[in-house]
Amino acid sequence: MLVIAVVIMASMVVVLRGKNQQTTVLNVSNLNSLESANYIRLNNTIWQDPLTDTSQWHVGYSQPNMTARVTANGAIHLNATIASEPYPQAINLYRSVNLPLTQNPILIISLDASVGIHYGIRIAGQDSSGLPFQSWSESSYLQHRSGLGKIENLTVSALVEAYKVNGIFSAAGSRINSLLFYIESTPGQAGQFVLDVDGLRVVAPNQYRFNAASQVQETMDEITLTLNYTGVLGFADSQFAQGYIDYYVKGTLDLDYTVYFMHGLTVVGQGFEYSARSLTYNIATFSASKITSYPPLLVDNNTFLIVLSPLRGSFLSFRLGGLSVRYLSQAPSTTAPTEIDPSAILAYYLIFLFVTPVAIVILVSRLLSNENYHAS
Amino acid sequence: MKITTPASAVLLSGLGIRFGLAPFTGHPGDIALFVTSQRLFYQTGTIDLKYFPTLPTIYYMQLLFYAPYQLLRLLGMPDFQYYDHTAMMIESLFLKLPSILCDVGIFVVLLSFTRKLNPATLFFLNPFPILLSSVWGTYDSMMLFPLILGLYIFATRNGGTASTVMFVFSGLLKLFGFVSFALAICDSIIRRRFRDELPLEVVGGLAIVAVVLFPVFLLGGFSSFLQVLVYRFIGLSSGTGGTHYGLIGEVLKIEPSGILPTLPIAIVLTCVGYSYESSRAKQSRSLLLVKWTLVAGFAFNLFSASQPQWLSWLIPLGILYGSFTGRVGLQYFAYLFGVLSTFLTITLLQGVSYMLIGNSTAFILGYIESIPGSVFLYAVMTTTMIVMLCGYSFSKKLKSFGLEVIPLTVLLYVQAYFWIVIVGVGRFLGVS
Repeated sequence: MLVIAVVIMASMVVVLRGKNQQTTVLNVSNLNSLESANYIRLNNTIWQDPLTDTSQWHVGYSQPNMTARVTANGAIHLNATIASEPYPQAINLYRSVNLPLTQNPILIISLDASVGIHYGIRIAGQDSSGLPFQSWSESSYLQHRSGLGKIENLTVSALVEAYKVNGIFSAAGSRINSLLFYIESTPGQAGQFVLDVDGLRVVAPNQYRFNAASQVQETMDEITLTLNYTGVLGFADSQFAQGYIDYYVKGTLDLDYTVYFMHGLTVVGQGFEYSARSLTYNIATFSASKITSYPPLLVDNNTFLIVLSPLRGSFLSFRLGGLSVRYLSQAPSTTAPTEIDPSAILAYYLIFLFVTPVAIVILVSRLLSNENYHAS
Repeated sequence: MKITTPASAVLLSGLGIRFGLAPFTGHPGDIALFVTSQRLFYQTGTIDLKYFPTLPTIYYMQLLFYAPYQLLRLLGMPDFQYYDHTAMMIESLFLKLPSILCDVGIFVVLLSFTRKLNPATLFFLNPFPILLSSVWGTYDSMMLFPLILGLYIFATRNGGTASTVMFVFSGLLKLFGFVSFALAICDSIIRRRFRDELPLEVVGGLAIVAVVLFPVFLLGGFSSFLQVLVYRFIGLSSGTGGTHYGLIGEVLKIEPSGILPTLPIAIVLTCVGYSYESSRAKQSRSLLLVKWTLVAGFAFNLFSASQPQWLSWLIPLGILYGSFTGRVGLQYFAYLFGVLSTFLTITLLQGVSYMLIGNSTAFILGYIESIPGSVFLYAVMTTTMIVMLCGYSFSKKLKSFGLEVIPLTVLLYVQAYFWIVIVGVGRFLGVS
């Protein structure tokens, strides 16, 4: 009987394979779904501050009675004395710049803030009609950072930061015109604090095409894989269920990276953090529920992209094994549901899962105490 | 074997509960993985073994049970979306059907094995197996059925190849099954069956594994299979979730940076323990096999990067061991263990609404769900319950079951809730 059932079901598996209409699932996979593969290098410096002259730098205070000293010797040193006050205090160090957004300027910043103080970086600009815009927000990872007392290296895309705050807008004619660093104290905090800007340069990312199926060995600051998926069958970004990418990768000793799945400027999915100090085979998964950040570099839009983006370090070697991006008619939801009355469904759940089984077990235990079940 | 009227009543009740829950519930993340693979096969013809997130045997089983659903759909049967679940209602039922039927299989085997209805009932109407097979939609029952069947065959036929084949099948559904396979190999070595049973078991086992894995190899998924499943399971790779000590690690907040092959050590120690006891021949071999499989279950849960569903392994094994050794206390505590594990899993880890309406953002039971230190509370309570289950399994003083254990367990939860959630002792100790 069991064998017959299995044979019938196995026959159905063979006969019904691929027979149903494709309506509730989509899989973008294999290397022929790949339109292009590129890696990015941040090797084209378009502007640099030698940090030998303080004349371009200005200091601002949140309170008029605050004092600070700025010096330059290949690094800008902001030395501030903060007296204890019952309110927060801040000292700004800023300069004007002229960076067209069309060049996709990436700021490479090295700085060092005293332990105990908080600091941040703010970028601002103006669009083609002369209207000012901000490229920072309070929730950004560049704000209210804790000083570590050691040099930190930051890679900041002005374009990404502008998009994050203002949404999509035309970069043509827009430019970044102000760069500001600040240190801030909490109420009651007092002492002498230092912010050193040890390096400040702006690069335009260079993009290099490569064959993803063959191993590429270069220093790579980001890897982007453009899919030729064009939204067939009408699946929306909210229906993205899960993605996989497998590859061989090697990076610098400090390499930590993550994987993003992007549709235009929207992060649709993200993976875990990985490292690859030696040549490693890895299979990365990405989904909407893991989204916690935004890729620091942007080089393409209006396409479907898989982005391997370092949090630290660089890639040294890469070869793609395969990929799969899956959509479902109802993907795992990450948004709040419509209003429901929980009492009825909760009662159903508790009755079926706890009350009924426990009641029957108590009944059976009482009825069949000292029982012996005799198989015949 | 003839099923008596009381056993039929229990069977029908358990099935009714499972079929009542299965269409309306589900773990949206896990069900999405399974339903994607099945829909890809039946809608596009894609054999999704390269990225299938678990062992291929699960995929084959689901293909078999999903086929009738596809046929019904082609014949025009409608199906419906229930809230935010990733599978439709009848579709969800068919995906869970293999696990539900394996629950039935375990019930029947326990009935035959113990010749008592009580132990089988304590498993079949235990909320935790019900939760896993009918609500969550995970497949631990599919591993446990051939495992328990293998133990039964081992006991009734005094060892033999048939039981070993069952252990291999069990391991191919979830790798824990290979522990009993290793113990059976140890048993053949101890009994010096070098010419007949041992070669057959080893070669037969390897051949079955090779046949099952060949399609994965053919479709280029063998590297990912090793990386995602095998290396991670035995602790030689951190996989995607990082390396930690599981429950003990959560309680003590041990977060080692390197890899920790705790499971190979646990398996070796289990084999050594079994071999030592078996060679002294004070207890029957079948009882020892149950006992050391149970010990391995304890070790896996406590000392590796365990998952909540692994707790279910201890329930039928504990009931079986309790039935053989006359430990009524162990059988009833295994039931209580399942009740509390269900409560802790749905409130502290998944969230009631997640498996009920498919959305984790809505908390229905705010006071016991969206609470600070929930994982720490879960780890403390679960570890305590496992230690108590260990006591009921092996302590000479805990052979019977006192009803006062139930309020004691509730008090433990209330105390842990007070100290961890309200006082926040985990934060003071730096572990939460």
